Amino acid sequence: MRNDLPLKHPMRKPHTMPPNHLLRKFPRCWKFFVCSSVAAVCLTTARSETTVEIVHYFTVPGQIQGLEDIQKDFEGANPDIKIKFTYIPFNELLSRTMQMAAVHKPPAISCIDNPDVRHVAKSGVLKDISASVAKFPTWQDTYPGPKASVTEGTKVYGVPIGSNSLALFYNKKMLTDAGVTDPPKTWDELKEVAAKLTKPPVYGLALSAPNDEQSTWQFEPFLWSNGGSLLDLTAAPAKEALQLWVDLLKSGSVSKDCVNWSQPEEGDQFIGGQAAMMVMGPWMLGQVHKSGIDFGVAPMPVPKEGMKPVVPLGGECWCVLKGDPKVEEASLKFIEFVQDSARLEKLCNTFNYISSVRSVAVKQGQANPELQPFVLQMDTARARPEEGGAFYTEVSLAARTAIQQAITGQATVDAALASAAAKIKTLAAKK
Amino acid sequence: MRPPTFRSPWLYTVVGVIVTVILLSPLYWVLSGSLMTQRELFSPHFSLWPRELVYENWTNAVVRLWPHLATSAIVSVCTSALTLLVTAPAAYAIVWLKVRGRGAILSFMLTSQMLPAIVFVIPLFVVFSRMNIVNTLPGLILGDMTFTVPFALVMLGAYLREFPYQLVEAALVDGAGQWRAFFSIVLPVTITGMITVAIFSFLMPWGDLIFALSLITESGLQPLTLELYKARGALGIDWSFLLAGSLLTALPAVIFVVAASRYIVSGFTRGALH
Amino acid sequence: MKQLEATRTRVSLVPPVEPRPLPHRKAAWWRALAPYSFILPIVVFTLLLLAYPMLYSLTLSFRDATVDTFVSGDMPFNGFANYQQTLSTGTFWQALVNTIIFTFCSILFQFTIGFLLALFFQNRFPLKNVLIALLLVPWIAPVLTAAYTFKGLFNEVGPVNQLAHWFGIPGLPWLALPGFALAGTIVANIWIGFPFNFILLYSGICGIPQEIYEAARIDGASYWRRVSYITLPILKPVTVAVLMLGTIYTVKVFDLVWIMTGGGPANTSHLLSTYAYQVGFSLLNFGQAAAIATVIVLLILSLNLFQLLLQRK
Repeated sequence: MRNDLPLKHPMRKPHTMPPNHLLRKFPRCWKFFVCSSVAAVCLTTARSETTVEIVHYFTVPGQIQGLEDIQKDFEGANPDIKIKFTYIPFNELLSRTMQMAAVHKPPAISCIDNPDVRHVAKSGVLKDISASVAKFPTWQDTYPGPKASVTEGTKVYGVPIGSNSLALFYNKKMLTDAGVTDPPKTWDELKEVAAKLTKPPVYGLALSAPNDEQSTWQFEPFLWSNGGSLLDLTAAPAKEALQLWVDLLKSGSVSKDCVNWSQPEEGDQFIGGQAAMMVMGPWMLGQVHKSGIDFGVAPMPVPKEGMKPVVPLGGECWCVLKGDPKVEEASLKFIEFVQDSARLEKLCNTFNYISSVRSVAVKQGQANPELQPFVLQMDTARARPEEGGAFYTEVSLAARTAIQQAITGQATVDAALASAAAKIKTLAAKK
Repeated sequence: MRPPTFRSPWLYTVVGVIVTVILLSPLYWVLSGSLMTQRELFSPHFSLWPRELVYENWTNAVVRLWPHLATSAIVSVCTSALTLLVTAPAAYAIVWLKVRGRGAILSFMLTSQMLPAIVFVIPLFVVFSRMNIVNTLPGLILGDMTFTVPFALVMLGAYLREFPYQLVEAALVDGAGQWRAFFSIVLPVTITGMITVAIFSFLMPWGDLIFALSLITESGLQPLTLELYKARGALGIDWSFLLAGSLLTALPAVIFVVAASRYIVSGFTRGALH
Repeated sequence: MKQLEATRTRVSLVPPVEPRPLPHRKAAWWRALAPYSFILPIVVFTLLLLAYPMLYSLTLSFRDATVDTFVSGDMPFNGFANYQQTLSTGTFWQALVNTIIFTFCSILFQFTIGFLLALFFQNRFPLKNVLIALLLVPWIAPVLTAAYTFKGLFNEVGPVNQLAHWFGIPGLPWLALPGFALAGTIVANIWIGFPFNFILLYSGICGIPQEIYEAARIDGASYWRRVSYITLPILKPVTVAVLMLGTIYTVKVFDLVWIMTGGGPANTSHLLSTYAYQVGFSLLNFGQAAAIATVIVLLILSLNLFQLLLQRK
């Protein structure tokens, strides 16, 4: 009320208003002080709650559901820890994790694809969790392959969420229509059956050989089952494996467009009925089921009868990033929570992964016959960085260039492999 | 507009429609695909029209995209408005007022555009992190302006060259200030160019993916393009969402352009009366 | 009473209007500075948001910035090592040649189609606005969709080959053959880019006064003569701007090629942008990616140099 100058003196208003106005309001600011102190109290209590941010690239609704279930269970058991899932597209996950770490705002956990774990560990952003992991009962029971992908010497940089690999999916109806009773078991049978099932525009077999890691990934079962290695591409086993692919394409059993298909696109071909068989992993099971195709899953064909298939390992790992010790501790709690056998089985089933823990995987295989071929292959499955270590990405790049050159007819098998081997040798020299 | 050479303007319409249909023919695949199931999309039997129309693709896409419409709209409108605000006076000053350093500004702007977005985005992310505007809409707007402002400067500069400067000279002699002349003379005459640049400054953020990808991770703040990108998952491409969603994403932008293009026509008539 | 007081209040709160112009000295100083207030916001914007990323990228290209060093921030300088490594890789040179071919073909067709459309739409006819908006859709639609659309069209058993069969031409696995993969991406890029040229040229032509055309028509000039002697010269600044921007945007095209071919088969359809991405984000060698980016900048600069000179005139 003291503020209002009488209207009789309008001239005075402009000169006296602004500064005194605020000062006179000051005593009334007690309300402000109360509110701010309450807010401060609220904030401090809020800060005692730890947030664990997990970055991932899972998009399939089933996977998202699996993550949300785990989140609910965990937050229920640990009310002072909040889980936040942040989606980052597949191609960007690694670089984004590194960028976030570079500006000192790292996520708590990053779901890194297993061949990249050791490469990223070199940068020093990942926490060595060997001490905590040794206490997990499931760690001893983990397959050697997945374990190797996260272990560097004595240090452990992640815990596999689950594993996957490759097997042969086949369209039962198309096989019976062509008079084939069993899915092919050897390379020769594969060539024969694929040729029989090729009735344009339907192709006998679908592969994925694009200009990225997926090519090498799909090629590795053939290479390794034949005893070959990426580090020795000029040896006979490698040549035979690549020759198989070249023959399949030349005969028309595999579409030449496979050099542009990512695995999802390859899956589309099978689901649409444009391919009778495909080399694919368990993550596609959900979609294939939905399409209503009567299909079966068989182990990867081997070069000669009696040999065992050696498949590459896929699957992401929970990797803890170095940061606030409280967040690290909460992250480890989360990982331990997930590693409980029952929860692990449920999570892996929702994700259509094979668990990296033997006992759980065996249970999965028994419950679901389609997963059985994958489970059986887990014993001999190999982690990809075993060939090239932290340089695996570059080794893979050289290999897939050779693969693409050979199957598109740009170079002979020998020439393509020779140039790739030369590139890999220079890489090894740099080590 | 020219009065049509041929007697009936409808002849032009027919030719226009034919040309449009030919040029837009790839979109037919998108349209028919959006009404098919995923399985039919890849069936070996090539059909011109889906066997049964699957409307769920569209309803699902609408439900999924609707929350992000506001974000895209806000970002695009603000980017467009701010771009014009900052660039129109500058373009005018560079072309007609011959300010010193105009060559440097123009070259710098152009050179900045030559860097591929992916390389540009890393330092931008670092800067915005330190300014704490990552994962905020103002941050994304500023990020989008890094490509709309140079574009606007170059295009407005070109359109402004058509402007008759004598009009401003006359006004200056009469005692008007530079800004007054700008608002009352330059803007109305060059409104066509301004609107065109505004339209593109709206459309560019609308379709932007890379900046949104790097600067926004909060799911609630993601624009339409980012939500659509999720169709390309690591384990499968959600074609039903991708195809229907693409057409839905383009729709508001098309409506905006139809509305704004009427301005271009009317703006021109106003200018021509001079 | 109240109204009179209110008026008095209003009058006193508003500063008195200066009837005479400001003293001569002050006016000249103010007038000289006024134009700089026009460019102030844009200069601030440039320094804050454009200068830093450019400098950062340039310095990054001279550093060893890979997985090991990027996070810790060390990133030791390694001189021209990144550039040396880039220039000695065969893929780089292939990508450079591809980029030049890609840009040249794309711009040629995009501009021509855009210009012809801009001329056509000068006429007034029903549904004009609707058609213009529809023709913008290839540019508005997400590149993701366009890329997958054309990938599907060029499939070995896709519509393009089906059409070819109709005409008795044997189908080709378009995107799987080394030379044709690039051609496929060029076609897709032309489709995406022509609306950009179309609308900008259309606006430019709209701004040309009708009277000039009338005068020429009375003098007996034919349609194409009018176009070449009136439209094209007056449109020059707009043409130069559109070509310059078009070149810049085309050299930077990335998503389209990445999705359609991934740079393959066997690195034969790599553009500089996709190659930079592969180096930076798959191999995580940010320093080398920055070096490639600098090369891209130099390439565009040289392509645009004479255009810049034209605009200065």
